[in-house]
Amino acid sequence: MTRVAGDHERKSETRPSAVRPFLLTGGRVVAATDLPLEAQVVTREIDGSWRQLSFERRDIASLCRAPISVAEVAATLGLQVGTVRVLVSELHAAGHLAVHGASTEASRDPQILERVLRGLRAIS
Amino acid sequence: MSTPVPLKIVIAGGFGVGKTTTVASISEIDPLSTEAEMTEVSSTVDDAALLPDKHTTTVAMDFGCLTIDQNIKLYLFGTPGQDRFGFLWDDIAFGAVGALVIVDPRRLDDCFPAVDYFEDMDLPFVVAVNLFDGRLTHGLDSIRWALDVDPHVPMVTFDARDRVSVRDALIALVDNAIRRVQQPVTRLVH
Repeated sequence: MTRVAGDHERKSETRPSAVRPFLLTGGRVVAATDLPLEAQVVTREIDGSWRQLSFERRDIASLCRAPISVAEVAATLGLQVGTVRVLVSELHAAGHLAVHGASTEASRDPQILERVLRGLRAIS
Repeated sequence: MSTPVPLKIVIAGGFGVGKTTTVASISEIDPLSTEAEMTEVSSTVDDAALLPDKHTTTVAMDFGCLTIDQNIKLYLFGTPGQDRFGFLWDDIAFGAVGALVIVDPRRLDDCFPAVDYFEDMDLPFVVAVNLFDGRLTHGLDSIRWALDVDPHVPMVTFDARDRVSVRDALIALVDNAIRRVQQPVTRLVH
């Protein structure tokens, strides 16, 4: 499969990628608890240096200019969640991305849960 | 732009009980699908002797999203349903508000792994009986008895195809999660 940087329309719904996930990540893995599926990822635009990245890394940075979850990054780019976790944590370490994912505390916060309740009740 | 606080709810249950339909009914985006890693517990039906007790496998997972207010996004993750394998849903369940365990009243057995899992995890959950044909032949009490679900676990009936009905099931879950935070359940040790 030819990989074109910045092509977000690409999906691998019909056939599996010929590129194995460990090749994209250099064999690295990241624990799920470090980067939950719902963690919000947003690109740091400070110097636009992410534009120098290539392939999947650039796709991710380009996609995350508005905050988006790890799961949405994976689904949109047709990558496995595990692959996205590794690439996102690498881009985060390099300063290209910010990651926000404090859901463990938020999901036990009565005030936040009350807001969720109000938000759900507003759905018709 | 401020980054929203992400929360998630797990949509669980056996194969074909309406998990994807539930997510699609209420998600404000078209449900997305991605591949996630799951810990698979080897079934005795397969050649378990040749395998370690658990190994990681990759399964497709559906999810959707709701904007609760300016600062809160709620994600709904549908766990893959499998008949013969038990999956450990740690990846999806970690940090979740709670779980909606969807039950097909004609196939109660299918939801046992999910009920057991969330009880063990001590994660708030609601048993949501999907009314495929619009009515329930058994009462909710008899379903509770058959599933052996703790009395503090709410049970509701709903229609996975109906947005307001799905909303009400989620409200029951969040309501339960709030009560659990305020008054942690003391579980009896038998």
